[in-house]
Amino acid sequence: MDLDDILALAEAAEPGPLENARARRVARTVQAEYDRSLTDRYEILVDTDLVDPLTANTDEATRIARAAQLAKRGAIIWRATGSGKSMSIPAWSDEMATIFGYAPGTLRLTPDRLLELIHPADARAFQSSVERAWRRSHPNEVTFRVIQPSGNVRYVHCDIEILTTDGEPSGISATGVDVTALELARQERRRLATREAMLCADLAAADAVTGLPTRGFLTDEVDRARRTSGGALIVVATEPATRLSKTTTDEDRDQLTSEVAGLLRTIADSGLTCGLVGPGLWGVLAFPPQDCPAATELAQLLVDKLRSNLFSVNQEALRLNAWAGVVSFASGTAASGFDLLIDGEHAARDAARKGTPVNVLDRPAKDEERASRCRSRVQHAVTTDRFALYAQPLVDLGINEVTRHEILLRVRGDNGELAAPWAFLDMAERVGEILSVDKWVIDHALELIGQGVQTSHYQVNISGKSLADPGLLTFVTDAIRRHRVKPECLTFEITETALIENRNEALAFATGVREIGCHLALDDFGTGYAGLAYLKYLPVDLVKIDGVFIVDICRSPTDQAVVSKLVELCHELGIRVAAEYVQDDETVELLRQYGVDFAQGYRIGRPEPIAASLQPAENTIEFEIHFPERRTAMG
Amino acid sequence: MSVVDGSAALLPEPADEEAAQQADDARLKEIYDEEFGTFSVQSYRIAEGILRAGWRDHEAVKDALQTAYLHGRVHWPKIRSYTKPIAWIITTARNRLLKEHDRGRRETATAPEDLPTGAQPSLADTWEAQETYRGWLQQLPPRHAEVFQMSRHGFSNEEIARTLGLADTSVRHYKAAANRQLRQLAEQAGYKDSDSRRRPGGAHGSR
Repeated sequence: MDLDDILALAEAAEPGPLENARARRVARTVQAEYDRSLTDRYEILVDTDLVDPLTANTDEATRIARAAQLAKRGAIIWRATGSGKSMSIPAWSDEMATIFGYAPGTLRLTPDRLLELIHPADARAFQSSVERAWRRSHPNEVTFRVIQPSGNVRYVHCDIEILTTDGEPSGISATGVDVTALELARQERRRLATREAMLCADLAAADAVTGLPTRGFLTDEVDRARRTSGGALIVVATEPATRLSKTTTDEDRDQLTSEVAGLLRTIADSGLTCGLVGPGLWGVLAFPPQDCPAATELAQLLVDKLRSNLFSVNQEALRLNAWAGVVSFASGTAASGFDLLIDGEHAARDAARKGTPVNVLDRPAKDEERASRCRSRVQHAVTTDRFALYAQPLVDLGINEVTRHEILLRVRGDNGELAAPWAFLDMAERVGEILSVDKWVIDHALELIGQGVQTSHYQVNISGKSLADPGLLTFVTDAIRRHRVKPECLTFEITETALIENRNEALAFATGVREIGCHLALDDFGTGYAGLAYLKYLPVDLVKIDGVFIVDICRSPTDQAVVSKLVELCHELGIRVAAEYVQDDETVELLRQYGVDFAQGYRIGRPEPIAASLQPAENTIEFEIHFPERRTAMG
Repeated sequence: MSVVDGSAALLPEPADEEAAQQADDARLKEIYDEEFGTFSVQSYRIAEGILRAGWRDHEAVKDALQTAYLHGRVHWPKIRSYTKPIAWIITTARNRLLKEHDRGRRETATAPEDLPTGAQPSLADTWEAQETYRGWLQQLPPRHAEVFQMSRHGFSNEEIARTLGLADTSVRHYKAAANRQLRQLAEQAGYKDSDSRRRPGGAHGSR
């Protein structure tokens, strides 16, 4: 079936009975009203032209101007003079003068004046539409803005037509109306459609490896529960029952993690919120509070299932050990979502220490107890060096060479395995112990850098919270001198997951480290607390765009808009730009196109133990779809 | 004066004259009523179809047409002698619509959001075909749609130009543009292959 068939079908039938009835009804109604006017002796006012439209014998310009007037459309008419070579001065109708904001007859139009009345941005378009119509002897249309004498701007839509006399082109008519209301409505429709298309789901809510809600999301959910119904939080700690072999890769670990997450999801009811608490730490939020035994039963079930399940890592069978901590909390409890997460984690650790599968707390821990336990955990980790440093390469996209490394922290767990630090850092930041961790990192990183050849550029993280410490600048300066590090090889990345506590002190530190020759970077830009104002007054050299804008950039016009404009902005401000979480070549290519200076991510290279990775090495060519540690959901 | 009297007697009484005039008027009215009735019933569907090509608001079209027919009835003695009284009806109703509803029409006509998507592979009856076709017409610039629809009803280019207040040269271009766009819309909706191999000129001739 095609258009011709459809037209034939649509026009085939004689009018149906319904259509005939409607026509007859109209005829009857009209006749009745006419008759009534005769009997009641009132006159029906006819405000329309009483000329036969088909025989009116005027020239075309007059005919069109008259038709426009009757339809309340404005008209501008140009008449060709001298055998069509040139145009007369245009004449506008009263209606068109009104559209342009002039009382009829007050302004005599000239070609130049007409263009002056049109918005400068549209004057050329108007002129060329008219000229094009004339040249091609083809009707045209144009929407343009006029600036009325009052300064008001109106949108006008005109149909441009070619007039003929005896078949020869003899003039141009432009007839039109004020379409401002329509144009604004159209623009708003377009804006809403764009907004709709650009609006994205909250990527930060789900962890990419496991698909489970992130720690930040779970914290918020627990917090909501304690503000409303109360509930019970189960935290399950898992670890391999046997030591993983040396050949276990990061991908294998991710595979295991995602298997555990999958199992967890099948056990826990779909109505319950599961989420990540930390590496090897899983949370399940259960309702309602009075049903503590049910939560305990569920915890027991989780532990049993996890222990009895046979996982496979790198084609080898593996069993997990599992313990659970349960903390139940009443509605309106003072402990925050974060506090309850910590309590659950502590309860699970205690279960492991005591060797019992499930450890139940029937109420949240006391604030001082919890805080001091957290603090001592951090202090213990710092004093006993339960950390390791890794380095991840950044490639300079301008020269296709790895020229920088970011120094990353790994935390040694109870079982001696190194794990990503996001949960640990979150805790340290929240209990105010992050400064000692940052100092440890700075001291040990600089020591390692000083021992190496210092051919790369090194980026060291400092929490925004630590910047409040007045002694930090001195500490950094000392460490640089002590370890004989070239300051120009160092960039300090300010991690903005926590608010900068003291802006004056932060500014003093930032200015100070730059004075001694180091560079300054803003990490996770776009998701943390770092506002655009920081770019204005902090002497930042590098902005690292947060991974949530990068991971899906090839498919997301939203990310493309944010990143490309951010790059433009930063470059204008004299700031270089790095992108994190770069996972494939397509992304690299796109980032290069946008002018991004550095790329970091699994496509460029995974974090490696520092001793190995600080040697100049070739690019790793791994290609993996999963993320490095993420802290972005923490806010 | 008998002559006067006599002649006066020959002339109809003023009262008679009035009565005769009234009878004439009544007869004429009757003729006009019938004539106009027939005209209305025959022309209404066509006029409505043409106006609806450029106007989505069916109610507005009906109101404008009713007023135009009423005015047409008032001046039927004059309008009946026009070349095509329906052209006057269309012009009058259309001017009314343009004056009162211009905004609404263009807005709906250019709204790209509510384009019908996906279509039945084959349209079974006239009603479906009409609805589909009207849906497409309303996505065209109103001028193009009106010109196209008038041409489908057999109006000549000159008649179309004069009825719609267009330049003579525009009609041909608008018609071609409408044809092109309709064909495109039909293809987008999946209507691509001709059922009946086209007869020469068969699908293009006016009815």
